[in-house]
Amino acid sequence: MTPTATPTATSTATPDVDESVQAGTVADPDRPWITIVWNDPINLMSYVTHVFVTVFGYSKSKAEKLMLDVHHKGRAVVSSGARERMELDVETLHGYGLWATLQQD
Amino acid sequence: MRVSGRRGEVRLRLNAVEVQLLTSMLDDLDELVDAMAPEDAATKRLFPDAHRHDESTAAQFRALTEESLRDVRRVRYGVVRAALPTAASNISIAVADQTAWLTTINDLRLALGTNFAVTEEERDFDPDADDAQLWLRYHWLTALQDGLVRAAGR
Repeated sequence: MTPTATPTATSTATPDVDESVQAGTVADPDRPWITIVWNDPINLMSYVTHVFVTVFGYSKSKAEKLMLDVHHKGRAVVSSGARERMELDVETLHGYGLWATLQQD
Repeated sequence: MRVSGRRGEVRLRLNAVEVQLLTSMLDDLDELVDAMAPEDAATKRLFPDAHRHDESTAAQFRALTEESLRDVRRVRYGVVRAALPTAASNISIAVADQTAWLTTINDLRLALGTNFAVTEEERDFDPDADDAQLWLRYHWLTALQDGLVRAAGR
C-alpha cells in the first residue's frame, strides 16, 4: 500500500508474504472459510482502512489494525464464516479494488 | 484541485484542465471495462482471481461475478461522470455518492499504476522520462483520492 499522497514520502516496508497459506481443497464442512486481503503497492493505506470500516462496519481502530497487518505482513484475514458469505465479501472487496481471495481455513 | 469535507458532505473544486483530464481518464477506464481483455494487466488487477492456487474454482467464481462487477463499476463511473461539470467548478459530493467517487478514482489509480508498474519504492518525478505524463496523472489521482478519503471521514 501507499502510505501518503505526498510523492516525496518513502515507503521502506518490504511485504513479507507468507506463502504457507494453502488453498482449502479438502472438503471439511466444519472448517470455516476466510477472506484474505493481500498487500499491493497502489491502494492507499487510508483508503484500505476506509473500505474495512464501510464494508464490514469495523471500528476505526480494528480497521486500522487489519490495514497495518496487510501492509506489514503482506496479508490479513478480514472476515470468516460460511463459504457463500465469504464469496460475497470477496466480490464486494473486488468492487472496491482490493486484492481479496477466499479459502477454507 | 481542492477537497474539503464538512458534516459528511465532500466538496471538490477542480479547474477546467483537471475536469478535462478526469473526463479523458474516465473514457479510457470505460474502454478498459468494456473490452475486458483477459490478458491485460490492468483488467486483471480490477478483476483479480478470488482463489489462489486453484484456477478452476477461480474461473467458476469469475463466471458468476464478472458481469455484475462490471455493472457495478459502470454505474459508479457514471455517477462521477454525471457530476463533472464542463468547466472549472465546485462539485458537491453527497454521502450516497462518495463510494462511487472513491472506488472510481481508485480504479483509475489501479489501472494507471498497473501499467506504470508502481512499486512501494517512491520514484521522483523526471520530466525527461518517457512516462513523465503518466507519473503526473498518477500522483494527481493519488492526491485526489487521499483528499476524498480524508474529507469523507470528516
